[in-house]
Amino acid sequence: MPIIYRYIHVPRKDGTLRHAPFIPVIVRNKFEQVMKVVGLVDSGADTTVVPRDLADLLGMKENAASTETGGIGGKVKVKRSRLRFMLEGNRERYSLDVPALILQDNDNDVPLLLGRHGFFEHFHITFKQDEQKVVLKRINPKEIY
Amino acid sequence: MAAQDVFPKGMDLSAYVGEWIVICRDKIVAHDKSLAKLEEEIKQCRPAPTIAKLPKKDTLIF
Repeated sequence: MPIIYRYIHVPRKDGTLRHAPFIPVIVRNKFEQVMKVVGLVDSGADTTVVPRDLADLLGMKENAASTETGGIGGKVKVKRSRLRFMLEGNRERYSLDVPALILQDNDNDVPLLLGRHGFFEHFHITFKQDEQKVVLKRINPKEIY
Repeated sequence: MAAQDVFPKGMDLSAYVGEWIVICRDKIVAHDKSLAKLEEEIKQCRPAPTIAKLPKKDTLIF
């Protein structure tokens, strides 16, 4: 069964709304508490990106060496890690363990970005922009990262 | 198949742009630019809270 989420409406300062495919993922935090984090399904991102303060809350372990990654927003320092999360539908749950980059600068105005590696291989993901919905249908991956 | 809503229907997020929010039992119980400052509210929430960062910028591509 596919999991379907409505886009969320993120308000801009000018009063208009930006519609974006954010979805909730289930994670365990450093207090051993299960919680949901809302992340952007980012088909333009190779790898999942985790804000520094969220990585701290989740108790994520990271590689000692930092590296740089870049996009339209410019270059930022990151450390490599992995993020475990679950997706929950009405009748099913899927566990994923994906490579992740932890932002080292806490001042970035970035939410959790759910990139392709380790995630998109497991689902057919359809962005229904006209309906403002994102559909995730589980598949058998051909390659695991 | 019915689509799921990420946030409770009708929740007004406009006051929290640029911040983390903590949603507990369908209500925003805390918000701040620093997620570390929200840890106590996250710990106190039963059942599981939902947290989200509401970005200011339009460009989020990495």
